[in-house]
Parts: sequence; C-alpha cells; structure tokens
Amino acid sequence: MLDAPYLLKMAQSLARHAGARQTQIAKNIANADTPGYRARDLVEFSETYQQSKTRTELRSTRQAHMEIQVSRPRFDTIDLGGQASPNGNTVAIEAEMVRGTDAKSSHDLALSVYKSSLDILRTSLGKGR
Amino acid sequence: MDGLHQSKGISASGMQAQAARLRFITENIANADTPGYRRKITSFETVLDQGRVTGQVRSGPVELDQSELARVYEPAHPLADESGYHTGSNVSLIVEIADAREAQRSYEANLRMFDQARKMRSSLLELLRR
Repeated sequence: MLDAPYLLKMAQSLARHAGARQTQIAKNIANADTPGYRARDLVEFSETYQQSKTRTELRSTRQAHMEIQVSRPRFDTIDLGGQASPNGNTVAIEAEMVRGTDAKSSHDLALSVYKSSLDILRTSLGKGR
Repeated sequence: MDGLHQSKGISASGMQAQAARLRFITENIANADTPGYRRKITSFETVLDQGRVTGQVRSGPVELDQSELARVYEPAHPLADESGYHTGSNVSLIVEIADAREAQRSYEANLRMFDQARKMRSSLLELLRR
C-alpha cells in the first residue's frame, strides 16, 4: 500500500515522457519535407527515469532556506540517423507512425496505472471507488 | 500538459504547410496549358521564435521553376511564330500528381498526430472527472 505514492510518481513520469515523445514525433512528421531536417527521438524512458531518480533534491526545512524550484525534467533527444533523402531529410513517416503508436500506448499504460493506484489509495482510505 | 498542446500546434503548422504546397500544385495543374507558365515550387523551412527552434514548419517563399519551357507545335495559335511553334508551360502532370500524392500523405500523417495528441489530452482530463 505504501508503494502507491511511488507508483503514482512513476506513472506521472512515464506519462510526461510519453507526452514529450509525442511532441517530438509531431515535430518530425511536420518537418517530413523540410530540406536538411534530421529526425530525432527521445532517450528511452528507462534511462531517463534512472537518471532522475539519482538526482538529489534540496529540501527547505526553514523559512530562511532558499526555495529551489524543482525544474521539470528535461528530456534529451538523440539523432535517429538513417538514410537521408536527396534533400538531406531523414524522416521516415512510417517509422514515425509506429513510434507515435508506441508513445500513445505508453501514455495509456501510465494513465491506467495512475488511475488504479489512485483507486487503491481511495479504497484504503475507505472512500470506495 | 502544455507539451501536448504544443504538439497540436506543430501538427497544425505541418498541415498548413502541406495545404499551401497542395495549392501550388493545383495552380500548376490548372495552368498546365497556359503558354509561358512556369511551375511554382515552394520549399519548407523551420519556424524560429527569437532564434529558438519551435519545431513548427511553414512553406517558404514561392519560386518559379527555371527549367526550359516546352515548345508546342500549333500553327493556328495566335502566339505561334513563323515556324508554327509557341512556348508552352514547363508543368509535367506526372510530377505534379506524384507531388500531390506526397503532400496528401504527409497531410494525413500530421492529421493523425493531431488526433492522437487530442486523444491523449482528453484521456488526461478524464482523470479529473473522477
């Protein structure tokens, strides 16, 4: 039961990652005919999440402590490479569509996990579903 | 949350650019038999916001294809010279149709991404409705 907040946080990170990935894919597809554009993708969630877990956050325990705004995690992107068309563009629409479906299903997964964790929390609080 | 909103803007810019491209293709096809017409071409470019890449796209300035105009043999035409030829357009219908297909395909891909961003956002909002 105590795992629930941790799970919620993890699901939140996955949803955020999937959203950012979707944005990157939309960029690739919008620029599918831009000369010289190179397709990019986000670093895998498993790697990003490991990194963000090891990062220590500063706590403010007194009023005099400076408040540190915890910035939202930045998602690094990598160049996908691949065959460039004569105008130097490396976007393959079919591959992008597949990635888009991937991003959508991870987003759905994250939201489902979030929802059911929330249900468990609610049930344990006696609020019912 | 605002990431998905940004995503919709990017897809919309892609659709706009493809629609502009499709418009030039239609103009070319309509003028395929206009004497002296040069086909219009446009190149896409990324949109910068204060020097920062936004990921959006737009169609660049229109250029005229400088390739040679076709010579059409039509002695009865008012523009025909002594030998019976006049200059036609440099529009190749096959190229235009192929280009139109590609524009349509890219447009649909953008539309799909737009729809997907919309669905992801609405499923996110679904969490609030509980």
